[in-house]
Amino acid sequence: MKTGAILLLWLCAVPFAQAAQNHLLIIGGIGGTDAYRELFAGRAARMYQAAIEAGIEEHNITLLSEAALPDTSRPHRPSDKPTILQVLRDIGNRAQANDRIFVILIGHGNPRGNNAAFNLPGPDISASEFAEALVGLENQLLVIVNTASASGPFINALSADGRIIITATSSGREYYATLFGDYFVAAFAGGGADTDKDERVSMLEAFVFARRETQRAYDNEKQLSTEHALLDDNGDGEGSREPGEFESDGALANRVYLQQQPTLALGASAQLVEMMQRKQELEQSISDLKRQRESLPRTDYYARLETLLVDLALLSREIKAQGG
Amino acid sequence: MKYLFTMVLLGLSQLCSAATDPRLDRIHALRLAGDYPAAIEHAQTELATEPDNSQLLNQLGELRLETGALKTAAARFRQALESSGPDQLMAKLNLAEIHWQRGEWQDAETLWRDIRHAYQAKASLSARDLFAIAGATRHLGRTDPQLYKDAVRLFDQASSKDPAYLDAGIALGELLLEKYNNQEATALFKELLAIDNEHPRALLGLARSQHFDYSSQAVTTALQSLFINPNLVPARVFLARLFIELEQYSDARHEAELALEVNPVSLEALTMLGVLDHLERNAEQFEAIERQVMALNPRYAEFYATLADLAAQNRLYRDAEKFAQRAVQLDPQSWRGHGLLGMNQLRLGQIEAGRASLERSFAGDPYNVWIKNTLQLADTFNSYVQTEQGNFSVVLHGQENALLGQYIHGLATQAYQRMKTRYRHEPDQPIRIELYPDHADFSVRSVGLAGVGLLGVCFGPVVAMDSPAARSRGAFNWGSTLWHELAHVFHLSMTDNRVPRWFSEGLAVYEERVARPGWGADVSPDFLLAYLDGRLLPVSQLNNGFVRPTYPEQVIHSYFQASLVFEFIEQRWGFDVIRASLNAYRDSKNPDEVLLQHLQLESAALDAMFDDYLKTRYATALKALSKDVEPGEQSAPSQSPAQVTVETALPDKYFDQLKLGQLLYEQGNLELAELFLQKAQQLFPEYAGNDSSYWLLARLYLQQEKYAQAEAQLDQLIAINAEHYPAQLELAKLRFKSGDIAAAAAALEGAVYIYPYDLELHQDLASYQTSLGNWERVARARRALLALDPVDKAEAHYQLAFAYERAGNRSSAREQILYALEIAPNFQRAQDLLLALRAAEPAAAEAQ
Repeated sequence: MKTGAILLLWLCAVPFAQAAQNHLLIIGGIGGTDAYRELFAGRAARMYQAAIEAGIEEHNITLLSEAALPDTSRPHRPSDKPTILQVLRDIGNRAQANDRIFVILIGHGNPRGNNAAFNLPGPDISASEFAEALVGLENQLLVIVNTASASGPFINALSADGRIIITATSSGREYYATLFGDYFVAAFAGGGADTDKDERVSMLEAFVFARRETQRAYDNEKQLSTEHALLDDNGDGEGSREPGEFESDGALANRVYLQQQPTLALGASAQLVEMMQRKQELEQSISDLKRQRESLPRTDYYARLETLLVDLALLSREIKAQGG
Repeated sequence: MKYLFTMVLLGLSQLCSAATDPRLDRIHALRLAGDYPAAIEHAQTELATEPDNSQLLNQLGELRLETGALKTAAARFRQALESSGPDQLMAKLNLAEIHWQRGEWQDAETLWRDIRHAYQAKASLSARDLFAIAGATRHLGRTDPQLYKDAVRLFDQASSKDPAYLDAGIALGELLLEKYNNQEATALFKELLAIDNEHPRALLGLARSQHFDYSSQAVTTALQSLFINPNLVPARVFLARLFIELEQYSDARHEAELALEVNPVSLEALTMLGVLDHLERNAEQFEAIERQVMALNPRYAEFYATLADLAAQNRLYRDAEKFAQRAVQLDPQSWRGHGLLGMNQLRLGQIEAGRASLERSFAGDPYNVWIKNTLQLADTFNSYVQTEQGNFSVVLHGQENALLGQYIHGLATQAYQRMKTRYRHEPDQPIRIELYPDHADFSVRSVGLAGVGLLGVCFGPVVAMDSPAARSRGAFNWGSTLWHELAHVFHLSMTDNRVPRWFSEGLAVYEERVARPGWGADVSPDFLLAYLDGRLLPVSQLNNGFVRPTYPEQVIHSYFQASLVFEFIEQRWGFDVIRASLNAYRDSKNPDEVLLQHLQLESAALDAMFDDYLKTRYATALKALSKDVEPGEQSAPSQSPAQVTVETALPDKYFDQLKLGQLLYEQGNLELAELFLQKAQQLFPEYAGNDSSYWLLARLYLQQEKYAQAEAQLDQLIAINAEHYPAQLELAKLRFKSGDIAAAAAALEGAVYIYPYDLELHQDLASYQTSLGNWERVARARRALLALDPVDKAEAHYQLAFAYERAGNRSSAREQILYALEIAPNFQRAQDLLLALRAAEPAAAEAQ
């Protein structure tokens, strides 16, 4: 309960702080065939566009790919290992403390003993090499999403406090081409992933969306799934298949968004600040009531829920009317 | 001829038997050849010189037993027991058999226990002694199933003791088969036949093994056995059973009568006559047989168990249940009876009673794989949801209930109303509809084993079928399958399950076609080629196509052909004739004549008229196919695509035109491909399968962006073959594009009956119905989406609430909007709807 109150104050404080910047690096790996080249290029381009629409400043987005993407006007930068390492150094130099750095790998991977590698034009980059490249980025929140086959070992290699690591597969043994990346990109580029309807997609929401839709795709074809995505955000090096806000993994990913964090204008009125606080209290009351769901008679539960929801809806209208 | 065989068998007998007494060998050889009078005469002659020879007495007794002289047989066995010679245990076993056959179970059991004690008591045991102990143990296994394992071991020991003593191996094979271990039984019978390939009982054992594996070879092998021993009663009885299963009742009766000529008190042969009299509705004769059997053995539960078994095979499930009840009343340890009772109770929808019966059966016979499978399936029934609504009780897996339930109730009700009007009949009890998402579960529900190649079955008031999840996407139309099975419910109810298979199956397929355009089986090139080859059966023999198929596709062809017969009859005579025939089957003793009487035709006339109908209906296609009747040559066109021009004229051969069009299409020569595909379509316009011209031309026009022509092709395809899932989806898109949203929605509604698990399908459907303002339909599509467990549940609840609100269902709307906001309390659109719903409440109350 005490922890909840502290968290509430922290969340309350954040909107007034100087907004942290989001940095995004998209790496499109080597396709191997025309079909995969086209597939990976398409995913990378959609991710790029979604990032723009999410409000990430264009100069904070870097896209590296095997070949130039047909529908981007930016000059092509190759996705070879030296370029990747250089770009990560550049981002590290540029990023402020508390900034967020997102790295999304789109392509093929393969296992290497207990390690794994992401396939690039030229030499591949292994999970341990990737880990070394991230040294120096300890003050930023890091989100690494490896959508490639055999990506599981990236969790063990990159896991650390303040990092969110997502992989398309649970181990290096799952080395068939994956579908996960397509749905992960769709979580930002399409609809359906914003399950709490706050008009932003958290990393947790994107992961759950991509995992569920990947499974649905295999189920629809009556095939056994050859990929089982993982998320790790507690730094223990163990990914979870079903992370959640209240599970061992998922709490951090639930608070991290690709979209720039909305901020409240510094000159907001005291009335608006008070309403925002009241809103958070109502949200907390709803959350508390939901925890009692199983112990309350159904009609009683929904009657109390409706009262709170109506209060929240009316308050939200007022806040909106006040320009909040 | 017969003598020659006797001599051959005598030789083999001397080769194979360790018995050293040539007198016994000679009698044995005559017995194997079925020459019982000569064998008896020889035995009597030998006994005249040595009256106390226990082996001769046993032989003579066994011959008397096999020919039905039980009293004389018992006297010989007692004499053998009184003598001090060998074979005492066999004499006891034989005597126990007579007690058993007379229903004197206590006496039989006492003897069997005596025999078993000898295993410990006797210092030295011959192969025949071991055989006797094994036989007694096998009988005692009835009350202690673990003893069957002992029996197997003992038969094996007997066989090892004297490898030439084939009776031990045969008995072992029979026991393995009885306990459902057919793999080992088959191997054993083959081993025995490698020693003596003309041993009639080894051949019979192999025939039974083949029958266990549903092999049609069983008849031939049984006939081989009878060729060697024409008086082998168990072989005659077995053959009679096979003929009953094939619905060749007169042949079956002949076999049973031949068996009774050898052994007039054969309970098994009399049982076959009882089965036949029951199936042929000879009530008085049946009662006479029943009295005769009960007089011979008042505790012979197998009579009723066999009646139950074969009644069920002829779809007479109520009779089967009744007979099985009699079996277990007569003998509470008839595990087969309990099993048959349970299976038939389940078929009649008596789930709890059925399960209890199966559990009783399995406790007594834990080797029965059918019962085991069915009980395992019954253990999963708590994962299913049963919903009672109107005339139906629908049982769906919990994971499918929300999705499929809403479609099934609507469709089943439509089918019921339609058939109630058509047949002027209503089934006398609610119809239970079960759908299984796992094909193996459906298969077990149907036949007790996995692997059945059916989509649905109807047991009368109970329908079981694959749910669409049980098969790959687009593999079948579950809506038309349900319609088909519901048609059977009416047919079986009207006829008290006495409708011939061809009639009911053909009529059910026809009902599918009448129900909706594109439903039910369609004509295929394969079917017409079979017609041209003379492989299709005349109407008068069409039932054989279902119960005695002679080529792999014949069952499928027979389904379609039978449906055409009803199309023809309804067009020519009207549906009254069909309805009247169904009503007549209930009490008819001669089902083959029922339809002919109502049509007032001779069988040959109907055959000829239908042949004319078929020839006329498919005249164009038959002409085009008659020129290339070799289906093996369809793979390559006669003309190379490289040499083809607009001027190229091919003969009017369907496959030539189609294959060339297909090749040109694959090579990207769309203009030329179109010419040949159009020609193929003109030559066989009724065919709309996956490899037909319609689908190819639709894809071709799509590539050319000729959307109206693509839509026209798909329209025609779906009108013939509504099972084509990609065509339904593509057609919906094209109709939407051309602005015909109602038609687009109709195509998607059709697709739901093929594969309802596609989120996009329901999303599009909801969108189309929203455009049309069909809010009830929107709500249905939204419910389907919610049932598919989307990631964004808050949105799904909100959209459903919105549809309910528009449809005027405010209470459901409010319920759904609370669910949406429970997940996402800040969901603005949902908040607005909640406030709107609350704001409307006082106004609504005021209006009331």
